[in-house]
Amino acid sequence: MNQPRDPDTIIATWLDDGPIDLPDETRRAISVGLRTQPRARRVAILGGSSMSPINRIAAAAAILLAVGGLSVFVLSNRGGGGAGATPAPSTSAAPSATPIPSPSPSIAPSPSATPPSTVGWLTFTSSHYGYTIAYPPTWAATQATRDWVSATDPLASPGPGGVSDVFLGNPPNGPETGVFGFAADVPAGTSEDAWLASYYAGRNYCPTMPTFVPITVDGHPGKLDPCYDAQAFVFVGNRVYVFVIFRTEMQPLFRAFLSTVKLPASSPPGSLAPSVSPS
Amino acid sequence: MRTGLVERARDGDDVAFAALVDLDGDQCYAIAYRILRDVERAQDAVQQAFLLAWRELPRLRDPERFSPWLHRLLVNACYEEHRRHRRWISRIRALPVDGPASADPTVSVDDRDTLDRAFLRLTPQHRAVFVLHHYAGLDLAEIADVVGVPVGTVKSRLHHATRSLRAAITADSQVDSTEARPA
Repeated sequence: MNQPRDPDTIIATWLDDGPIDLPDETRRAISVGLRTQPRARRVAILGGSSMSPINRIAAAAAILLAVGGLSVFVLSNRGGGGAGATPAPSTSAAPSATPIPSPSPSIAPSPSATPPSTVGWLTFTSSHYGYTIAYPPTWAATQATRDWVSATDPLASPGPGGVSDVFLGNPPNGPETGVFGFAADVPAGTSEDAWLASYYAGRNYCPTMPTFVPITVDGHPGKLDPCYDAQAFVFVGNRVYVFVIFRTEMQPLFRAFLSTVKLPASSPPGSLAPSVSPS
Repeated sequence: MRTGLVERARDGDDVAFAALVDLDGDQCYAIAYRILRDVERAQDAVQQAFLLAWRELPRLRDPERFSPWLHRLLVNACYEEHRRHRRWISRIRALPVDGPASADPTVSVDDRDTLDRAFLRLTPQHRAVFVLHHYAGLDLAEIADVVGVPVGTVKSRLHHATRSLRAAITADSQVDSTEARPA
């Protein structure tokens, strides 16, 4: 009788197997090689010990002046120039994702970045979380297979587990990126901020609690975290829907994804059962 | 202690550098082997990484960053070994991946073969992220620092790699169970 096999255990064991000691012959080869290797010159740097404190300050001042001068030059030549020219907006607080793909205020770092068209995208209905979303036809879509659990899945893990619906770009036909979607219940009495604080508690990159940008998804107000992996949160009733895209520079594409989202009606309080018939 | 060794090696002390090789050599070798799945090429990659480290060490500003810097050199050396190997293998078919046989009964010979083949189909960039995370235990931000890409790209590569290996082993299991089923 066959016992169920855990792929992750097999993979982990396979990965652990193998040599772990660098052979002596390689150590000797390195040792011999050192004698024939030319060495780079040590670079005089601000933090280096070869500069006196006064020289470091002078060098820093010179660099600041140069950078400042360059910035003024660049800004004065942007958008017609002049003293009244405004710097390029980095992020806009305006809503960005709407049910109908249309030009919308940018949440992307570049003001020239516009969301790609979603014409021809395929519709995906999340059998586990109940929403629908469209994705490019060259991408691969995979259904989530289990609920996201805050205790064990503090962030939408890309690893094994199947907690998210996953959409992966397939190079060379698409960008090397991916979009995740999942949902979770918000415990009664838990505010949005408290839930988000809990969600981000385990994050070890970007600020622990990001500065959110307001967005709208399927007519619902949401919050966008633009750091590294852009993440969108939409609280509907007792549920929060989370969408993530790898690589924050993909925000225009992310916005296109979000513009196609249709969320299910509110789930009954306390229900973990996914809706399989999105409206 | 390591920082002191790095500073001394940076100043040209080859004894200190040899001590760094002693400290980090095993881990570098283990990582390189798991990325390349080949003993000799892993040795070559480690050797190249350390020799380049010795040459470029005077340019390392912050001795505290020696470890991620060395890992970056190592991963790049693995990429280079992979490129060389591809040129070579285009003319001659390689024998199966070498390395000590496993005594762990969790992984059968078939599993190993399946995973080796699936892993070698991945790009070295995907392999490096997978090994650095699941074997070396680096977190995503650390890997991003080592391989020089955004954290999101690390996640993407990690997901691709993990999914490919899981799919391979799952498909293999299904074939096994189908074959084992009585007619």
